[in-house]
Amino acid sequence: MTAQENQATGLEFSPSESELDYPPPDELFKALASSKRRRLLAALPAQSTMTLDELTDVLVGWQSAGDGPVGPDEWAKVKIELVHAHLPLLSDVGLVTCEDEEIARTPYPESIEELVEFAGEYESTVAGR
Amino acid sequence: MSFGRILSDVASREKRVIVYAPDDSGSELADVLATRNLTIDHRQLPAISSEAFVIVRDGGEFQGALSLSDLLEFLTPPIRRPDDLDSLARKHRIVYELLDDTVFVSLDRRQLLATSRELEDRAWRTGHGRLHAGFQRADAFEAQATVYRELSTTDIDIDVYVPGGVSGDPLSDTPVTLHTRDGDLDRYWFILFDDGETGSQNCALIARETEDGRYQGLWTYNEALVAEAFKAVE
Repeated sequence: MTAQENQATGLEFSPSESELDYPPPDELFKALASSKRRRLLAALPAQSTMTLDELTDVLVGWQSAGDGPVGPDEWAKVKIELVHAHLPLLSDVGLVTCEDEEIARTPYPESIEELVEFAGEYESTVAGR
Repeated sequence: MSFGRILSDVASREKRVIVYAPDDSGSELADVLATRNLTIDHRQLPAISSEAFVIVRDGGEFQGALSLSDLLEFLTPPIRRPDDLDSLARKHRIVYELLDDTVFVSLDRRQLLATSRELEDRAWRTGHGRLHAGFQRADAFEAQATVYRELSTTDIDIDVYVPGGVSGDPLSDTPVTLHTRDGDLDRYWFILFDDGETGSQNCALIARETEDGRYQGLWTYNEALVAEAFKAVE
């Protein structure tokens, strides 16, 4: 999809942003089609990186807030899932970068930023019902 | 190793609690926990979650995660102390495991009674092994006599220590052995349990009364420490 076509849809895409910033929609929505990945994206700060262990802490911490205490076995399982499934997928779509166990958000175009934010809000609203 | 040495040894091991909260909730934790070897860090939680949680790390290793409200409920007296021996909530059991090998500088009697019950409950569920329980006063022992009568129906060898003894030992008709010691151990409230098999249920509580009538102490599920504690008594 070219920038001009984007404009034609009426969505608020900034035509000045390069095409590279926009993952194919199927891949983008697949990336958001998992509660762990939505939480992961919400947990990553915009300006700094998190280590793999810190990110695992936050994910199991959220889990414990909803489902009760979480021990080391579950923590190790979540970390393995991050390394082998969630982070590679998000990295392929271009939403995160992983270097030496330091995870960072890539700068998102505004529309994707809003989508990720909405996904996070929707997640917590539905979870809180 | 004496009880005093065990307490100072454990106090030198670093344990870390990280509080993740969307606001400044959890700031009271340092006061509530009042420990010697626990470092408490605070991190801002992203807005997606409104509920604060706590991560416990021991020497860098992840030990557990639980919600801040669960932890505070556990720490704030009155701690629920079940009367029967087999009903401690799973949640509370996990919190005990997370906070083992932590030296508390200020525990009150209710907290110690609840912790004692956790250990007695473990022994009861195991049903065999050795148990040493030290009371500082005869009335403290008498108040727990029912629990120890119940425990004496298992295959656990039980030794009870009461300085000065008890007039009309309420457990004289049970296999419980009563010791009337005096000396270094008198200042301590302790429960030591060895399951006599794999050691997976071994546990110990060691607490020393301070001048203000509160206690400084720890509980542990660490086999090596439990073995040291047995050596201090036997």
